[in-house]
Amino acid sequence: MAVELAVAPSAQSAAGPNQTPFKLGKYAKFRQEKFGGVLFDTRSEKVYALNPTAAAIVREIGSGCDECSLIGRLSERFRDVGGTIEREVRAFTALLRQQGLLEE
Amino acid sequence: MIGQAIAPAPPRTAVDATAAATRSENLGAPLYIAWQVTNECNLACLHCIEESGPGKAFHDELDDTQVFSFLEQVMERQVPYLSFSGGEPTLHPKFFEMVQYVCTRNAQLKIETNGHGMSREKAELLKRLGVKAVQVSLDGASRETFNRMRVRGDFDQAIEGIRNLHAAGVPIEINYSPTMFNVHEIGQAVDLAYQLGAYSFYTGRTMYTGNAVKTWHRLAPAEAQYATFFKVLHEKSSEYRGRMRVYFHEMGLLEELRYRLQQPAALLIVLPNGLVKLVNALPFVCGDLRRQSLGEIWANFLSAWRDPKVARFIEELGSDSRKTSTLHRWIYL
Repeated sequence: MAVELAVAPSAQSAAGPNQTPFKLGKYAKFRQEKFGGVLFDTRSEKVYALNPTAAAIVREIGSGCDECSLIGRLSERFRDVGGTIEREVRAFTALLRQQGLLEE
Repeated sequence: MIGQAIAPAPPRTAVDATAAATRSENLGAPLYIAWQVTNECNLACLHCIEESGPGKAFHDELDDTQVFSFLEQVMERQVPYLSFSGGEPTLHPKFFEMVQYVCTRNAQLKIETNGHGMSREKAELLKRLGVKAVQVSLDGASRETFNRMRVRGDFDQAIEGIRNLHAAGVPIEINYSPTMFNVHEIGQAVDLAYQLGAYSFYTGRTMYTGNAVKTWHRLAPAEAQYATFFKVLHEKSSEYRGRMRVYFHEMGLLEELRYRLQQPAALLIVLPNGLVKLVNALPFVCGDLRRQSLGEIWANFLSAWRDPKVARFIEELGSDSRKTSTLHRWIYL
């Protein structure tokens, strides 16, 4: 059996903010690393390298918040006024859903 | 400003990770530990890479204190994924305690077993403990081929074990080692795996090592047989897409090792006595859990892959593929 390293492709979501609490999928395991973090899908045995922004999003997801709270928390923490955080969060959570790494 | 706050040298977006970041040398710990918990086995298979069998436990296998001390380190360093194999891992006297330890500490665990003796009660216990999957070796779609390969084994017992796992709701993977006398059954074996409820099917080329060194003349498929074997697997992979994943490695060992030399997987192979190997198919040992911490061994692992002896050994395999027969003559790095 091989453990493969993979890089996630980018994704966009057109859906509106979601107030259902996020939960990482049963097979998704996150670990913080110096460069950000890794998300290991133990079912497919694929590894996703996360940059610091993505790692921050996954840490917040781990705390069980919904999309609105997640965007609010990160926007406040990083003093985002241009909506960059919202775009990042929506694109990234859409990707996690697509990969089966996110439950709601 | 987002970039300054959380991404000092930011990739373009949250989902745009760099390939360099995924390299093992950038990780603080392994992502996967494949632990051969004992060399004892109830079977004595013709191709067994570990030369396991009845009475084949190492005389110096880790004791209970060492076992749980290692597991504690694994959890502290947040290694997300482990597998227990052997030998036959379920024969380890502390097997279920070890399973419980891992599964209750937010790591995921796969068991690699021959499935013999997997009673309904044991399967239900594994389900309750929350193992991620149980991989069962099933090298044949018939009693004739299976029993020929799995000395002391019995096809019906393996099937019963798989059925018990399925009834208990344990996710099942099937592993298949090809030989000259079972390659023709590969299509039926994939079908059987699906009928038994497996969600994954794994296979690849059988390696010239372990017991296979002595039995190679009775095992090794011809290249023409392999060609048909992989053709069927491509077809089966398409046929079962979305229902069961059919994984297979067409790459030979040499190509695989050359790739690993450039891109070591974040994977430690732990032997029953606590020695840690670079990769299963090579004789190189990069640590000893009885004397070193997991952190020290991980650092050694990363530097050991750059040792010229490793690259030399792999290149020599190109002219002498039989060097894999020496992988149990450990070389310490």
